[in-house]
Amino acid sequence: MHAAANATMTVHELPELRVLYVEYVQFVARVLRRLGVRDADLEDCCQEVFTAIHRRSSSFDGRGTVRSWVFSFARRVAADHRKRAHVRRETLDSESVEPSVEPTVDAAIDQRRARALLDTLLDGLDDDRRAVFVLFELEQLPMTEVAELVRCPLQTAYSRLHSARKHIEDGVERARKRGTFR
Amino acid sequence: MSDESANKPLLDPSSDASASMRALLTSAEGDGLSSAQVEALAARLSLGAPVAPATIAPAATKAGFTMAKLAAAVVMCTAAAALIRRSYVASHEQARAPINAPPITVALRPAPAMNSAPTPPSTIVAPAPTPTIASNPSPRSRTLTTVRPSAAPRAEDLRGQAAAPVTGVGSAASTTIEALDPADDVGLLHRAAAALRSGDTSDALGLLARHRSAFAESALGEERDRIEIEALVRGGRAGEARQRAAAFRARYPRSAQQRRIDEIIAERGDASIGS
Repeated sequence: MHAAANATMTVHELPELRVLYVEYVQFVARVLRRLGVRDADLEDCCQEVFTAIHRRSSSFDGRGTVRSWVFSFARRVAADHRKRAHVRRETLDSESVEPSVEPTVDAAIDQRRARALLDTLLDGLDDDRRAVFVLFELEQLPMTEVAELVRCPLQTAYSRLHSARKHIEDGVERARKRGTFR
Repeated sequence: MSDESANKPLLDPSSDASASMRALLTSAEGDGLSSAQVEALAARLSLGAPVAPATIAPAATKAGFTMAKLAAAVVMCTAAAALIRRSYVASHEQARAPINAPPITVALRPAPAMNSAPTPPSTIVAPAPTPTIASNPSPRSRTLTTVRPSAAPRAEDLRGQAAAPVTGVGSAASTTIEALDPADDVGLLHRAAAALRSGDTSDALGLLARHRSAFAESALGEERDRIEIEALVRGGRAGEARQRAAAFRARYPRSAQQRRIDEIIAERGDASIGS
């Protein structure tokens, strides 16, 4: 598991920005991407996160882990980004944006196609369920840490996970029946 | 799904997740920034200078985060720029960290290194390459039984609608999709690749031109260019293909598609010189 040594890192004083950057830049990038930031905006949104971290470093109180503190910035930036993106483009329901019917001809395209479907299905989740699903299923963090990161009771986190799984699994099944996903 | 497996990640080997579900989730393995982006962003954040030991906060430790670990992290930072430069030569896809791997792996040197110049790059191990998706069978093994004729408009049908919204077809209730719909981005390339496979290079090139027009900044730009170069070669336009290949190399100097393009040019381009 990445950043395993610091997964539950708790310090009273925050490491300086360069340390945080090296340790968490890919975590931030992956979380942003999976919470709805598209590739084209990823670098800018990462910058936004680390700029905010730098600006708000005095707000770190050492009560939680550094990762949960970093995650809170990423989550906020992703939410803001999604709101802006919502204004820019018409929101399409998951039925209309699933990849069109065509056999797969290229592994790279196949992978992108799956990734596009994942984006679409994640977009159909509310922020709370999405965050739990992303952290548990994609980041593969322990659920206790997921609950801490999203600041909810453990049981609530499990409940959100199962609800999110149902949504994603239904979407996959729907896509398979339509022949748009294997 | 049993209660026990219900609380395990779907990608856990013992979970009951379907192959489709696993394929969906593993498609996110490449998420993250490329090494070049990490370096560029570090520059934008003005993180390039080495970290002086004096700037390290006397970490009040807790939960196993010792002073030694913090010091080690600082050494890691001083080496970050060198790491990034080293990682830069890795291919774009390979440079991305897999889900379960650390974004940066550093073999740390003893503490005295902190007082000297940035740690040499030899102390650093580049990120592991992204593993291949084991559950992803060869796409060519799949059948064509799901194709409906109406689902694949031919190039001439599409050429007339360059500025118009693309209409999703293939379902009873066709839905109008915006021109920038990412699904159609993929679908167009699928049709182009299918046309190329069937030997209809002019159809393929028409679809690719349409794709270039509608999705100029597509994330699939490299795939599009590779298919286009192959279509040009197969269509007997080797000179043009080589020009495109040179432009491709300049635009995507670390592309994972480069090797395939080189093969296409080497195997077929030379044979059709002058045609």
